[in-house]
Amino acid sequence: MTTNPKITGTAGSLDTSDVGVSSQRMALALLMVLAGAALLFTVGFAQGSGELFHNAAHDTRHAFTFPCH
Amino acid sequence: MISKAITTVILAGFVAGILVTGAQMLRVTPLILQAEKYEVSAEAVPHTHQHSGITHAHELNGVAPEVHSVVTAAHGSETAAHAHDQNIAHSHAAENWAPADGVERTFYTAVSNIVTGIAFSLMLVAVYLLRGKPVSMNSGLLWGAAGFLVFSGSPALGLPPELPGMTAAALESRQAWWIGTVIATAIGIGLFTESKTILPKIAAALLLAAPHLIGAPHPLLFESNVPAELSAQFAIASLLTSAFFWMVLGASTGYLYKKLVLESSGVFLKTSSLNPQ
Repeated sequence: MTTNPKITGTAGSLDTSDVGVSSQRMALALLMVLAGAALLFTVGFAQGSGELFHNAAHDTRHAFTFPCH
Repeated sequence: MISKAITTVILAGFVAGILVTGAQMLRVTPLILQAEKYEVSAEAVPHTHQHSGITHAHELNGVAPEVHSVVTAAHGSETAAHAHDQNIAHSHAAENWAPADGVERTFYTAVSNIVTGIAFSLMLVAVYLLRGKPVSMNSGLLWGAAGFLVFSGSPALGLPPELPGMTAAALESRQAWWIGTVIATAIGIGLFTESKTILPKIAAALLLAAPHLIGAPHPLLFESNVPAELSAQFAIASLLTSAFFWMVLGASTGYLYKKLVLESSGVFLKTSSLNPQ
């Protein structure tokens, strides 16, 4: 308790708003998964006009075992 | 707090992306460059099959048209699949931009690796947030191992790492199987680690096995000019390099998440478990 009074204090005061905090955490996690999937699609799957994305990320696709050609 | 989670994501993704670029230069990239020499004909070659009488055009990966035209039984029976294949067969046409070999190509690969690192880092930190439990460098390493199984190990069991010039089934069908496998494996691992009773764990095991029981799409004929030795070396080299990437990513997300998100914030996460009484 005495090692880090600041953190303990904040956590204690939060007991009533736990639901709000955890739903904020869930929302952030969900957004991160969506953003990650979008980035992954661009790097690993999209061809782009004139195969722009394919050619730029070509070696990464092969190295990370994305289906490439 | 959100900004600290995002800092964790970007730092870890950047570090893993840079390090894996270096690691790829040891074995993976030289093997890709070597295989490209065998990628002779990237142009669609129109030809007629002797037995079926089908005329069409597609990449032959350097296989002589006469040799290819003789093999008809499999071709004739799967015309639909083949016609599909034909549509997506792409050629590296001269007008398409591609980074020049050397520094430029390495630069774009490094950028792609960093973007990949950030994408996977987002997934790992999302898992930490969803679980809401303490994470350290060591447990991060284990989550990195799970990430490797989800995104590299399980998909590679059905679709081995490909070198340029290797034959494979239609791109869309492989991408669909890849995505399905990743989702099934991710849910399977999550269900297994987060459930406390035996039945969900059995369901998780079935989910993990399902993509492989269904089976990955494979070509009817393997026509490849790439020597088998190169393909074998590439499979090992790329998988182990990916494993290295996931170890770095897992350990660094775990470390940074603990330092930045958990230890500096009592607001966002309950910190009671970090404070031994």
